Amino acid sequence: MKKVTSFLTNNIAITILILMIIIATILDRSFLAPANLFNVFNQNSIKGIMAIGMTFLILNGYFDMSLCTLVSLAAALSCGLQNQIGIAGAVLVSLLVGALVGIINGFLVAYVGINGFVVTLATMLGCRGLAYIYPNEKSIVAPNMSFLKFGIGKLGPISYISILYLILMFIAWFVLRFTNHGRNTYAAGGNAAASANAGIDVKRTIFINFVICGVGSALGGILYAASLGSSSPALGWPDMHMLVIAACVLGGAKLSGGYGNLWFSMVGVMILGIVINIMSITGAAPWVSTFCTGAIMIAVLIADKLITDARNAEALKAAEEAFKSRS
Amino acid sequence: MQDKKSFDFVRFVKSQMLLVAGIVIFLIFGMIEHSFFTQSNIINIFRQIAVIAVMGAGMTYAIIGGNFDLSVGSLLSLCGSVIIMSTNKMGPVAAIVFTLFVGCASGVVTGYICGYLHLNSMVATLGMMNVLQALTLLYSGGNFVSLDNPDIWIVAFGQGNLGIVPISVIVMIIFCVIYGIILTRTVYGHNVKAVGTNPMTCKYSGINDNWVVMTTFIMSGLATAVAAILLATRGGGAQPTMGLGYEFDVITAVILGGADLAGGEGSIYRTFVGALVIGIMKTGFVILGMSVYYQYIAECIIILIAVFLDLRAKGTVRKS
Repeated sequence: MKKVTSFLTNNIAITILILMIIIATILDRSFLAPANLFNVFNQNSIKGIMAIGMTFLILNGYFDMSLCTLVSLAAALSCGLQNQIGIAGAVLVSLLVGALVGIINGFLVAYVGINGFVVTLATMLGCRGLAYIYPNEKSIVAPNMSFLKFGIGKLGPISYISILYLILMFIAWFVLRFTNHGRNTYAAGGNAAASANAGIDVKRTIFINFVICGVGSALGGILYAASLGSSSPALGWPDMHMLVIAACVLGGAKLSGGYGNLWFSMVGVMILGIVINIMSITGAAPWVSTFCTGAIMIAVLIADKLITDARNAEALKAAEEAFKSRS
Repeated sequence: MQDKKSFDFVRFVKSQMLLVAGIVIFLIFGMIEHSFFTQSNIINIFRQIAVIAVMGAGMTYAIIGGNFDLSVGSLLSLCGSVIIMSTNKMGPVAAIVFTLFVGCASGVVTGYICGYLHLNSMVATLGMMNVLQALTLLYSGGNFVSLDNPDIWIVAFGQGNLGIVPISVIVMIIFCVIYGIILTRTVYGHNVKAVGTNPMTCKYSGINDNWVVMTTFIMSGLATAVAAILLATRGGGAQPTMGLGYEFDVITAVILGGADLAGGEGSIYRTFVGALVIGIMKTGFVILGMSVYYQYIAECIIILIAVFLDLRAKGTVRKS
């Protein structure tokens, strides 16, 4: 029993997920139907893909505000360029634009030394301007049907996008777990100065993570465009990046860096998804799900804080007792 | 200390780089389009920035205290609906008091979460943003609300003029001056700066740092409530999505004003100049007949240049 409690308090994301599933089932039995569970997963896989990039960045101690408008810019480019250079070309260009924004962010943060919040806020505004100016403030319908077909296509109960999400999750997990870059990310996020002294190229690590996050956001934008068959300049504005960051934080990642887990970020995305799903099943008023999202975020932070405090106090007490018994 | 008697012009200009940049942008727009220099346009610019400048004054406190307040956008929507609907129900005076109370109450909650529970302000205020947005939808029923009597005196805040100066501009100036005086001339203001620089030191020197952080959020909430009164009375109605995205405009103004996001540094005057630059660009692109969205690209470039110059002046740009 003690093992179970310590597991649940150590992995608070899992606890909340279980709680959410129980509450959702009580509210409506049809939540647990396999079709609905797959539905939740499919609906949130795009957000999950963006959360992968954001997790890399949060592990490194930064976050990317430019995600929300980069999404709409990439969506507009991937739809608008299809007539000129075909689907593959349009997708490639969108990803390159995402990488370019990531490079700008990464260069200014890592090598010039400007505050990450300021840089990504600035590029967020810049991308917002481009996302409106490129399509003349209109939404663009993707001319090629196979784009939409990929976006809404399914293999059995799982959508193609979800399959892509799972593949990317495994790749990202492998990178974080088994490559130098992944270990460097954790190390640099935990203590940048110590990592630099240990010979890790902290600047390059930060730079690469910003590029990963930029490409991830652009990919998210492309997939949104694919699943809707069109792009809109208002896609993602004003709080997409906030939802993604919140999902990572719900998954237990610390914004100060060095602490977090890719799979728990996935759990965080699904927690937010379950809130929206159960509200739409029960037909609650729109304000309820917004309220619950906010309240859950604050409650999780408070619970995490209380647990950490209690654990620290316990450790202190144990240390004092050990000291007393020795002297 | 700087010698106050000898006036160093070069140093003065250097310290006012942003204002100079704003004037240069203003002149460039004016040279392209002469109607930019008219009195009505200049008044229009000030009327436009009233909301951002007032909210920026509050946000400056939160940022100097070392925290972000991302909930101001939703709080603006909430207070906008509150002022319109409560004016209809209980008259203007009670409505104003109630709106200011709502702003302060939201500040107390946010401040308690960030100040006393020491949660990360970024995520905690993000949660508050959702909660306040939900309350707005609940309170207004998700509908556009408008004044029953569009000629009631409260609309003077948004639409009225005193001579040629709009009342909203007068309110903005008085409000910013009061906030500026509190920040620079009172013990409390110095406490805010001290807590933003180093909360631990403050705690050990007897300043109640939790309380000070909480009050910065109350200041921010109060400012947002005042801004909501100005914004809602301008059109005589309020959308539940009225304040969407305003938090970024406000934070942009504060950053342009050179506040240190790590806390401890910033001034109301410079935030005001930051808001002014945003206002000039916003109006300028409209008058030139270009898409408003060029303004965002211009803002992006100006923020990066301003912050880069600021860093270089402090000598903290990394050599690489």
